[in-house]
Amino acid sequence: MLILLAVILVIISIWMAVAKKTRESGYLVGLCVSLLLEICGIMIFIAKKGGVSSELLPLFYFTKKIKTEVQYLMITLNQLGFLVVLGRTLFPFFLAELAIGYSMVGWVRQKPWLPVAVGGFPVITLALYLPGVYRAMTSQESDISMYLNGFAMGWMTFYIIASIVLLFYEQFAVSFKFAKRQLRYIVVCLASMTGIYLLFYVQDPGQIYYFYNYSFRWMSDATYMRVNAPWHAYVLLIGGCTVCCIMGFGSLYRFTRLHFETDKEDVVLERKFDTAKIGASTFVHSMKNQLLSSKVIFKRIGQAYEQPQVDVAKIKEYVDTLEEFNNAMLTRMEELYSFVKSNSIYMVPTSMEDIAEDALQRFRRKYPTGQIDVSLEGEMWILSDKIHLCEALYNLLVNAQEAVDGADRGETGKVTLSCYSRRQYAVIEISDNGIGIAKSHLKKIFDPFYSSKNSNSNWGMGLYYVREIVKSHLGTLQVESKVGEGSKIYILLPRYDSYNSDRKNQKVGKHE
Amino acid sequence: MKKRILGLVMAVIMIAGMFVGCGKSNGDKIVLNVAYMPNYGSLWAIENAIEQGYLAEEGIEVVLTEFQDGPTIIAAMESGTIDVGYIGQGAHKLCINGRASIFALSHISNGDALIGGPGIKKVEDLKGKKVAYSSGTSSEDILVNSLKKAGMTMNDIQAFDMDASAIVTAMLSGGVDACATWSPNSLKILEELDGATKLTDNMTFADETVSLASWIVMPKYAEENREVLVKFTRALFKAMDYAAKDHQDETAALIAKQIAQDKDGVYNQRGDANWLTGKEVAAGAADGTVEGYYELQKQTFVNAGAVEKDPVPAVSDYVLLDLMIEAGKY
Repeated sequence: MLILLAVILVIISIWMAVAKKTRESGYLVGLCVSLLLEICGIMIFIAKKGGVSSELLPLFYFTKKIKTEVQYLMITLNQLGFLVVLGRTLFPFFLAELAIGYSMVGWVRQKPWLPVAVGGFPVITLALYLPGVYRAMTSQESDISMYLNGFAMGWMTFYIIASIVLLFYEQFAVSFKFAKRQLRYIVVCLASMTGIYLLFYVQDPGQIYYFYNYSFRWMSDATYMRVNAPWHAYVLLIGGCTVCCIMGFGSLYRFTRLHFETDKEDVVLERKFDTAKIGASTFVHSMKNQLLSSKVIFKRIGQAYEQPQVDVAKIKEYVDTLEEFNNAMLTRMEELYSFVKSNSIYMVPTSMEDIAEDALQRFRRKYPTGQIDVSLEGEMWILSDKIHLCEALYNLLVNAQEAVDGADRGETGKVTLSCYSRRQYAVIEISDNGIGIAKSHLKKIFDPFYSSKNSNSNWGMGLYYVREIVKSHLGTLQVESKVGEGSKIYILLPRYDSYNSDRKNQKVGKHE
Repeated sequence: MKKRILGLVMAVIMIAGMFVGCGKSNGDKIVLNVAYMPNYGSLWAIENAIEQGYLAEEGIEVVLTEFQDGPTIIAAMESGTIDVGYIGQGAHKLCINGRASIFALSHISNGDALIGGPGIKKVEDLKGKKVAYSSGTSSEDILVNSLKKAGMTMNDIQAFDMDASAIVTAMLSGGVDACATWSPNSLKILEELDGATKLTDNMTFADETVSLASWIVMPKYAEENREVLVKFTRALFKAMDYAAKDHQDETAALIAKQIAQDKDGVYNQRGDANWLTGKEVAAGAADGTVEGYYELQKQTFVNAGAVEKDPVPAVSDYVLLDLMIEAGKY
C-alpha cells in the first residue's frame, strides 16, 4: 500500500511540475521519487527478512502472494542496499531544499550559497555508502559501520528537524490569506511524507549490504519490528500519514490546477485581445454613440443658424458641448492608444511614497471631495515604471471609490490605501467598503473589455491594464471580496531594498 | 470543515504515535510471541504443539511471526517484539557470542546444499562460473568447504552475494550457474530446475561438523521466565514425540496452511533432517549427547574464526541443558 501511495505521489508531483515549472516543483518530484525509492527498498528488504506480523502484512503488501513475489525478486544485496541509500539520503536533501525555497526568513534568504551547501552531506554520504567503498571500509573494522551510520543519522535528523521547523515557522509567519492557504497544503504534504519516511529511516543500508552478517547490530532496531503488539496503533499511524498525504496533495493538486488554468486563461485573454472582436465592437459602439450625439448637436446648430434671429448664446452652448464630446473622445482614444502601444516598461528604483502620492494626486483631480485613508509604513523602494504603476494604482482607487459610491454608504463609505512591507514584498493594499464583487465575477474582472458598468462611460480596460502592469513588474495581484461588504486588492511587488541608503537600519527578515 | 478534518486526523495520528512502542497486554493465559521461518524444520514441532493442544495444556497461547533468517529473529528478540524463536545453523554463532541462549534442540539438519545448474556435475566445474551464495551464513560455509575440498578458493569463481530468496529466482531464471543455499530453497531448485545437480550437502562434511536447528531466547528472558520456558519446551517435546516418526503428512498439511504453500512441497522437506523426539533430546541432554553436538558445532565456528569471545565460552554457558532435562520429565 505504501508503495502504491508513493507511486501516486510521484505521478501527481510530476504533473504539478509540468503545470508549474518552478524549482520547488522539481524538488517536490525529487522528494517523492526518493520516498518511493526508500519505501521500495525497505519493502523488498522486509519481504526478504520477514518479521512482519499478519496484521501488518496487508498494509505493506496487500496479500501474502504479493509479499512472496517481492521476496523472490532477483536483486543483489548491493543493488538493494544502494536503493535504500539513495532514498534515505536524498529525501532529507530535497526536504531541506524545499524548506529553504519556501522560507522568507532573512537569515536564510541572505545566504545564496545555502541551497548548494546543503548538498554537501548527502554527496559525502552517497559516496561513502557506495557498495564497493562501504564494504572496503567496513570489512575489517565493523565499528566503522556504526560511525558511518551515526554520521548519516546525525545530519539527516538535523536536516529533517530544521526543515520542518522552517516550514511550520513559515506557515505561522506568513500573513496573507492566499499564501497561508497554499503553504498550509505544502506543509501538510511535506510533514506527512516525512512521517512516512521517518518510519523507516533508522534502517541502516549497511545492514542490507551485510544481510546475514551475524556481528552486525541493528541500529535502533527496524521500526516495523518494534510494534508487533500495538499493531493497530502502527496501522493508524501509517493510515493517518497516508490520509494527510492524500489530502495535502489533493489540495495542492487543486491549487496547481487553478494556477494552471489561470495560465491558460492568460493565453485565452491574449487571444481575445489580439482578435479584439469584443474590443472593436465596444469601441465602435461607443464612438458611434458619441458621433450620433455630435450629429444631433450639429443639426441643432444648423437649425439655430436658420432662425431669423441667431441666438449666439445657444450656439455657444452647443459648441461647448461639442468640445466636451470631442475632448472625452480624445482622452479615451489616448488612453487606449497609450495602452496598446506600450509593450515595454522602464523600471527604475522608485519610492513607494512617490507612487502613492502621484496616484492620489490623479485621483483627487477626478474626485476632489473623495476621501482616502492613507497609511504608509516606513520607507520602501521598488523597481518600477512610475507612470504605468501610478496609472494602475489610480485605476484601482477610482474603482474603489465607484464601488463605495455604488453602495451609497454616505459618510461611512471608506477607501483605504496602505503601503507596507511584508517579508520580501512591498505590498499595496486598496480596500473599500463598497458593493463588493460576486464570486462568479471575480474571475472575469481582469478580462479585457469586461465591465459591469455602462459601456459608454467605461470601456472595461482598467483592471486588465492593472493586471498587465503588475505582471510586468514581476508582481502578483490578489483580490478578496464579499458582496455587500467590500473588496480588498493586494499588489505584491518585489522589494528593492539595496537602493535604500538607510539599509543598515532595515530590519531584515522581520516577520509580522 | 476541511481544516477540522485535517486537525482531527493529525490528532489521531499523534495519539496513535504515543501508543506505538507501548507494551503488550497479557490476559490470564501466557502469551508468547514466537518467531519462525517458513519451512518444515521450523514449524513441525510448534504447529503440532498448537494443533494437538499441548501448548493449551500448559496455559500458553502463541502469536506466530514469520522471519526469513535467524539473525533477524535475534534482532527482533533484542527489540522485545519476539519472546522465543527458531534458528538454523548459521545463527548459532550469535548464541556462542552471547547474544541469545538455546533452550531446546529442534533437529539435526541436512538442508544445506551446493547445487549446480545444467552442465555442472561436480564442484570442479564451478571454475569461472557465476555462483550465488549468502555471505555470513551456512550457505557460505558449505560453498567454501566444498571449494576447499576440490582444491579451489572463492577467487576461482564469480561469487554473487544474494539473499536466499533471490538465489532461487537467480537459479531458476538462469541468472547464475550454481548456488549454495538451504532448505527449502535447495529443494525447490532441485525440483524445478531441469538438469540441477546437488554437488554437496551437510552429509558430505558429516565427519567435520554438525548442522543444528534450535529454539532460542534472550538470556535475560530465560532468567526471569524459566517456568514459562519449561512449559513451552515440554509442549514442544510432546509435539516432537508426536511428529518425529509419524504423522508427517498431517504435519505437512498444517505447515502448508500456515505458510500458504503447496502441501506436497512442504511434505518433501521431511527428508531434510534427522527428526528427534522430545524424549530423545531430553535423554541426550542428560547423557551429554546434545552437549557433544553443540561442542562440535562450536569448534567448527571457532575454526572458521566466527567466534568473537575470548576465551571461547563453554556450551553450558549458552545452552540450557538442565532446562531440556527438566522439560523432558512428563
